[in-house]
Amino acid sequence: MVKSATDRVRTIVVDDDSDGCAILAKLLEKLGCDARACTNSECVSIAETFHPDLAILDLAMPETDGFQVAEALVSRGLRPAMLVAYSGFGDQETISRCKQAGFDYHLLKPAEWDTVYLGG
Amino acid sequence: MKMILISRYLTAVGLVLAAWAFQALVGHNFGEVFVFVPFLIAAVLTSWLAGFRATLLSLVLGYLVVALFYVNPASPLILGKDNVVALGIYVVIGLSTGLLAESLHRAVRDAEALAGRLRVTFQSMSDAVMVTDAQARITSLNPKAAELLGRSEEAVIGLAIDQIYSIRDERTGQEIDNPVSQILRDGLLATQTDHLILLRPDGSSLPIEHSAAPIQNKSGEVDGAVLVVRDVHERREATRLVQESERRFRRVLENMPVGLIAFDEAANIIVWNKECERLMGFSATEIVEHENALELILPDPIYRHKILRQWQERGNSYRNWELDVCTKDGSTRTLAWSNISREFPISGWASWGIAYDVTDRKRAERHLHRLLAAAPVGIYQTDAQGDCLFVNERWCEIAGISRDAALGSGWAEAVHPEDRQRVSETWYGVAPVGKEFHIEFRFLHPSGEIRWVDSRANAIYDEAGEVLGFLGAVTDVTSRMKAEREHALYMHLLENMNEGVSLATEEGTIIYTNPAEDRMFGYEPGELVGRNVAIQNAYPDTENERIVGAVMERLKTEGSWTGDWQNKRKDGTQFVSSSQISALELEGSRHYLCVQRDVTEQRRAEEALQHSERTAQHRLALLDTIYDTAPVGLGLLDAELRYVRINRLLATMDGKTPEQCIGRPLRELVPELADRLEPIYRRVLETGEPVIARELHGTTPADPGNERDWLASYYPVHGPDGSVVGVSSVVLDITERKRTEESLREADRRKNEFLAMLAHELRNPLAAIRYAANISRLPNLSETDFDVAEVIERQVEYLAHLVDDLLDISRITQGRIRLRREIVNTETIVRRAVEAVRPALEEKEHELTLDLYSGPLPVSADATRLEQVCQNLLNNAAKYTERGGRIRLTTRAEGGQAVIAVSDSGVGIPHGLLTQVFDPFVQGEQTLDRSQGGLGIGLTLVRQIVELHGGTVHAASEGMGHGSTFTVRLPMVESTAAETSHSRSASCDHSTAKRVLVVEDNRDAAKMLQLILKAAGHEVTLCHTGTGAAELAGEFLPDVVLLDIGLPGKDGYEVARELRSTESLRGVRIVALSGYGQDADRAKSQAAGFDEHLVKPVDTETLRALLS
Repeated sequence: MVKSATDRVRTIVVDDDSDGCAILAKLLEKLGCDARACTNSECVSIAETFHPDLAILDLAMPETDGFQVAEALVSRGLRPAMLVAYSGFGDQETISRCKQAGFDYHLLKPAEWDTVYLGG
Repeated sequence: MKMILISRYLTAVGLVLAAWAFQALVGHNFGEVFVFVPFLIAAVLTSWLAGFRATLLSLVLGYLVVALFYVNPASPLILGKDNVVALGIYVVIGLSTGLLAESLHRAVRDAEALAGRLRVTFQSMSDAVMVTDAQARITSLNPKAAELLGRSEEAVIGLAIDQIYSIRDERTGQEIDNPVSQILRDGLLATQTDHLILLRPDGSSLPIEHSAAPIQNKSGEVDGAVLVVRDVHERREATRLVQESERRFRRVLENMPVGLIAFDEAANIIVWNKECERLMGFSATEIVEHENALELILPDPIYRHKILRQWQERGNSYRNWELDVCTKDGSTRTLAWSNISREFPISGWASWGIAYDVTDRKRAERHLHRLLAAAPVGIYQTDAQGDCLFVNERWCEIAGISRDAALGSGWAEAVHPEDRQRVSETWYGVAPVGKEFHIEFRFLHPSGEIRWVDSRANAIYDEAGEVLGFLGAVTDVTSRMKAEREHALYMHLLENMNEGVSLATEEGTIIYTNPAEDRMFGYEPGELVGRNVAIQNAYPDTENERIVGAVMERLKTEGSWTGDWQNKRKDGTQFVSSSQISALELEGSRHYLCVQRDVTEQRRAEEALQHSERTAQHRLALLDTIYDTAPVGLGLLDAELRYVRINRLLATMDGKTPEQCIGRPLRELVPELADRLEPIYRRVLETGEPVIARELHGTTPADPGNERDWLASYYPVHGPDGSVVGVSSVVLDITERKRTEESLREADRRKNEFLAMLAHELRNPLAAIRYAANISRLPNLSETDFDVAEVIERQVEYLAHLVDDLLDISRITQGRIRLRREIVNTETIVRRAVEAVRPALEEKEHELTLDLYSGPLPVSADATRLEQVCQNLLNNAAKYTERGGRIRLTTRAEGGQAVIAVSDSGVGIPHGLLTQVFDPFVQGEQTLDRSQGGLGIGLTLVRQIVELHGGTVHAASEGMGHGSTFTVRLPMVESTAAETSHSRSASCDHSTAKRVLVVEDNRDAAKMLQLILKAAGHEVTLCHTGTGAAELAGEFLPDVVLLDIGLPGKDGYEVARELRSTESLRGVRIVALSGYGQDADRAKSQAAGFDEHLVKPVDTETLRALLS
């Protein structure tokens, strides 16, 4: 299951909840991703070097929310192949807003790990 | 005369002969010239004696004698010169003497003739004439005078006139002065003609007139008088006779039985006889002496002038015209007047008239006219051709036209157009032949009224049998015709009516029944007549008398009786009739008229109806009550949108009583709503379709300014003909409901927000925990770079804290928190709180400034709770302030209060939200990018706790972006000496850890309890069914069992009893967890062996207390 760094899906997890962010990144790492956890403010700069294939963005974050982070990535040509919204809010409005913002998936916390994986 | 003339000529001849003789005797002694002298003398003598013509003869004869015998007898006619002169003288003297003598002779002759005539006259005068001298002695008198005086002429000559002429006044008998004496004395002419009487010597007397005149001589002296006396005895007698005759005539006239009146030219009445006096009361004197007597008898000037004019117009003679005169007593009489006017020989023009009194006749005529006029039948008179001459008033009244309009053929216009031709033809067919006329027809009045008349007329004939005209009478038979029609109508009615009618005598004998009566009683037509009414009665004999008696009594007193009657038909069957019996007088005797109707069926129907009416009334009363007491507004409006009915509730909504609303229009009662309501009402009125559940929002005059909501339905109200006559409205005041709904919606919205937030807040730690769990299950656990357990612990703690907050707010909201008060110094609390939140502040790099009061600020407070307040305020400041912001906490004493103020440089609070920030679940702007996490209950807890402490909390902000300040004020207490305790809540006291068995079929609830209890350091085992609970408890041996009551299979009570019966579990505390908290529930759980009864959701504080 463990693949080389080049084979592995480069995943970036952005969440203001540091515990949740870190542990998801850790889980994805365990599941074979090349996962990195970061805060919303760090995201763009990391992506510029990391070029993630998958971005898992929390939506409700202070100062810069998930939508803004996604827009920042897209505007800088850093859009990963898969853009996933990952939120505690699962209402229809949030979901449709995600589609509008160009997210490929919306996952509701706490998503099953295999779902996350398959999504990757 | 001839003899006289001859003698004169003979004288002339004789004298000439004498002269001739003388000449012959004397010869020619005197010459030729003197020849003529004798003859001249003869001529003069002749002229003296025999007149002028004899003188001429004498002259001629003298000349002839001279010429023939004395001058030249040969040529007698040739005289010499001397002879010629002589002849001339002869002729001149002879002629002039002849002429002179002639005139002298004539004068003498004339005087003699005059004297003779005078004498004769004097002698033959019929008046007595006496002449006196200046001494009044009689010088002469004529025979008449002598006769008058009764003396001879000779006897009185020379006597003084006084002696023989004695006169007296006839009337007085006084002697009257002799007029001759008067004249002689006074020289004045005296004449007296009246009343003189001459006393004669024989004692008799004569009526005389006398006059006296003086005789004056040439010198004008009076030397005598003439007294002329006339015997007027005969004349007077003649006059007396004439007067007598006239008197007789007058008496005749006077006493003529007709009035006689004469007028002169000036219209003065000159004759007025006794009949006139009698007729008119004025005496003849009054009339004749009156200057304008006509005015007396014709006082009316207009009438008088009319009469006078008629007189003038009618000429000299007219007969029998009527004159209304006024009598002295003022009454009016009518005279028939005939009159003739002409110039009479003596009296001149006069108008003589006779007058008859026709007053009585006229009165009779007028009376007759009035009689005709006032006759109760219409009377008309026509000429022979049938043209109307007269109609009386009654006729006019019947015909409906005026008298003038009726005259001629005008009457036909009054005849009803449909009858006109028939009447006209009949009438003008009858008239020429003078037959009787009889016809019935109608008059049509201009008013449209119709009069039926019976008109009859008979011809009137003159003596010769010719038709003079017709006299007819018209009788108004309208009422008769009406009566006939009515009779026919009544008969028709009687024959055809459904009610039975019978007429009976007082004894009860039926004399009339109508067909309905016969049918009703089952008899042949007329069969009942002659029978007694008793056979119609169905009452038994015993009762009959009483009932009939009562009816008869009633009839006697009231005249009529109305009621139901039990009847018997001919076949014996019975029926009930509604009868009306009335007493009436017919042909002088009492009868009873009975009108009845078979009401057997009707009575049954009525009873049913009455029953249903009672029921309906009952229902109506019920409806009324419901209407008035219904908890909804009910109103009924008519088509003009006026309230016909309104119940109290609806009226109250409009601020009125129902009575004030009735009859008033909708617009007047709710002017602000009318614009919206009226179209609805109209629509219902027009379409007949109800309008259901229409919501309405507005204000009413009753409660202006307070907007209310109603839910109203409008239903059409149909009249008997199905048309919509009104609208019934049902109005529900839903203001409170709307408010409740609104607040519920708001609460629901907040709840949803809260749930979303809660979910969000829960998902984060859950996610972390899940992944931690995932990781721990992964094979390569050897990696130690990540402390999975630590993550889980942290997240669970967060969750527990979350749950605590939730439970706190629930508990505080329900007032179930109990403060553990102690005297604490505010600073202690503040510092403790700052320490607790410092990690969060540091994480967001906020700069916290503490500005603490130097002195003590002792308050009586639950230290834990107050610390919670401060923590929440600080957390709140940290949350809503951008990273690296400034937060300042100040404490101070102010007016006996301890003040804790937390201000920040954060986002601030919109002004409108200042009062709401303390409400549950209210957060700042709800956007993901601004999401600060948390449940929005922190400030709610702050306020609730502060208020529990008797303090206040206040939020202030300059607005968005200007930060905010929360200020808590708590009452200070006297002393801080007691401030020693630093006790913390039991939750942190791990020494009291208990073994807890949670029996709860809701796994999540059980899990949550487990989490909470575990977080508090207790050992927890879960059991999800009742059946295995006791067994598990026997193994686990808990200190406390938290036992849900509503368990599937075996309920909590049963489990409790099992636990209590288990020996090994002696002393265990059994706590009931129930959704029910009533006393009965508590009692029941206690009976089952529970120690405590907690109502879900169980707050952590209670749990802590329970387990400590």
